[in-house]
Amino acid sequence: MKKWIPWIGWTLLAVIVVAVIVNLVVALSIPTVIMGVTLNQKFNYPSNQWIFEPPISDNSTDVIRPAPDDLYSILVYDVSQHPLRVTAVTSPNWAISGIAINTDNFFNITDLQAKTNPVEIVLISKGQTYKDTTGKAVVIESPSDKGILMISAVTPNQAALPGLVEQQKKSTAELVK
Amino acid sequence: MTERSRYATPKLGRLREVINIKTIYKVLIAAVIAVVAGGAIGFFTVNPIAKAVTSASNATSGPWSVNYAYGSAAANPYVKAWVAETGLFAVTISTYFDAYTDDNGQPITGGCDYVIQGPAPTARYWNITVYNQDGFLIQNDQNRWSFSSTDIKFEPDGSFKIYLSRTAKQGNWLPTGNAKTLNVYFRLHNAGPDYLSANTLKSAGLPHITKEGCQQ
Repeated sequence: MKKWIPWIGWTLLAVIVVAVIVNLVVALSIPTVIMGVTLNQKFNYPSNQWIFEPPISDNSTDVIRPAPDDLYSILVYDVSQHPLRVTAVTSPNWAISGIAINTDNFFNITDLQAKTNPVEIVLISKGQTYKDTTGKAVVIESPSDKGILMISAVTPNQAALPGLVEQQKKSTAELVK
Repeated sequence: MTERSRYATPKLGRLREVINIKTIYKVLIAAVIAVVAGGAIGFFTVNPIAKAVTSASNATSGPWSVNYAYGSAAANPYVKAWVAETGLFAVTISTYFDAYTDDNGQPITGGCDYVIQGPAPTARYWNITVYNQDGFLIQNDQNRWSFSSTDIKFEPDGSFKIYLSRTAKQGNWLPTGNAKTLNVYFRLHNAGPDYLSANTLKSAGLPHITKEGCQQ
């Protein structure tokens, strides 16, 4: 019996070490996995195109706790090959946000911070360089090649909704080749 | 016998003794137990740990809790994992307060009526939304899921009251439909400084959530 005691001790230690490693690896992977499943299976949108979402309702189940007053536009970006130039028209309580594939919110520009209207952004990947000759664009480096850009605009009332929808549809996106 | 061979023979013998078939079996069994049990424990404890780590890093005031790291690149991996599961696409420009209980610490349930009341928050825009137990908007004939700074009816003193109930109420009524348990979410855009620090949160004047009664 005594011969087994060290073996039990070593086995328990190995169990703990494996548990800690697996736990950390899974925790680190969850954001990227959930984001990947959401983008590839739930949304399944083409890359580098704005998708103008319908107003949020009780049928909106793609994302937990959707904000019912916000009108969203989503762009699944892929800047692995070329930078992406986007433009978007602002409105009160408006923001454009970048969310990397690991869910990090790496930039936000609100209507209060926007220096031009429409806002012009050139998104580049790590290592890419881009020189904006117009002086209008904000050049932003994405921490991952893929992720999403999200425009959210508060709808102050139902009467304002059609105007906001039209405004969001003026958003553009094109790869800079 | 030379000095060298006198020591080599017992060493070789001991090696044979140590690396015998029984030892190999023991190591293999230990490795399998470690991988299977350790893997399972590691995998299935991620969610409870992520929830606990996030809760521990929350700032709280009354029934409300807030995590200032939501959406931030600086958040630790467990907070990021929890955010991915419960609030994907969280952005750092908004401040989100969350309540699952009333002021007395009792779960907010669909079978009871509640009033949410407080002073108008210091923020450029704010909104209070109620979700069901799955985190989705509650189906109702009024299509009313929230009240915001742009559409709420304020009291004469500038404060507000929102009623959570299955049955119609005068004023700012959020229907709770058939939801079993409720989650009240308070979003602020460009919130005032009191809402942005755990040290000043108590003086920010977050709304009270009071149970008014329960249906039979």
